[in-house]
Amino acid sequence: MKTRIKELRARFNLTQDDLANKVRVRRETILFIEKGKYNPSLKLAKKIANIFNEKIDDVFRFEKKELED
Amino acid sequence: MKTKKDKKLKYKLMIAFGGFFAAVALFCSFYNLIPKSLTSGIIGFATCLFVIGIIRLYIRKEPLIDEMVKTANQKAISISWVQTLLLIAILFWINLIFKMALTVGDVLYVLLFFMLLTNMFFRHYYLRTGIKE
Repeated sequence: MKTRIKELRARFNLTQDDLANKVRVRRETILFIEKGKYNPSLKLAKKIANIFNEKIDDVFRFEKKELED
Repeated sequence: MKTKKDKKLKYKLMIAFGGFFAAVALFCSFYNLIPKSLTSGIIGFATCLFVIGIIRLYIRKEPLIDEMVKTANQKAISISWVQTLLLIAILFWINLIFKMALTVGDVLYVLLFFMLLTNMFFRHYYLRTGIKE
């Protein structure tokens, strides 16, 4: 899964800490999501997408192979 | 979903029950109604309830436990349980083959420390490396 969180953070001028505080998680969790080492729950994904006024699909992108497994 | 009011009530109840249990234990101990070892256990439990209630209500509000920590905890606990089951099987066969006189106490101590250690190890591992599913 690829995310656009880093790009969107830069656009909205938010640090990992700021985003973590907004969605009430640890900074490390945001870091792992950005690196693709943790798949957030639907609820957290929605919260993150809402912060950037985007749809979940536009923030988190799955490759075809991942969906086929 | 729990509201702030529910949580405040929960902590107030914890403080009240903690105080109540401690008072009852002291009263019973004073009149020798229950053994002293039981009294110290109850007072320890009551003090924990009381202190946690006070801390959560007045000092450090709600701890931030996010979903990744919860997932890491769940995964660590499940792996720890599976490994403990394996250890029980190993201990069983060791006891059977080598005729070791393992007491219940020995086995319980081994299992307790093994579970704690494996749980802490895997929790730390998942929090360091991430949880790839």
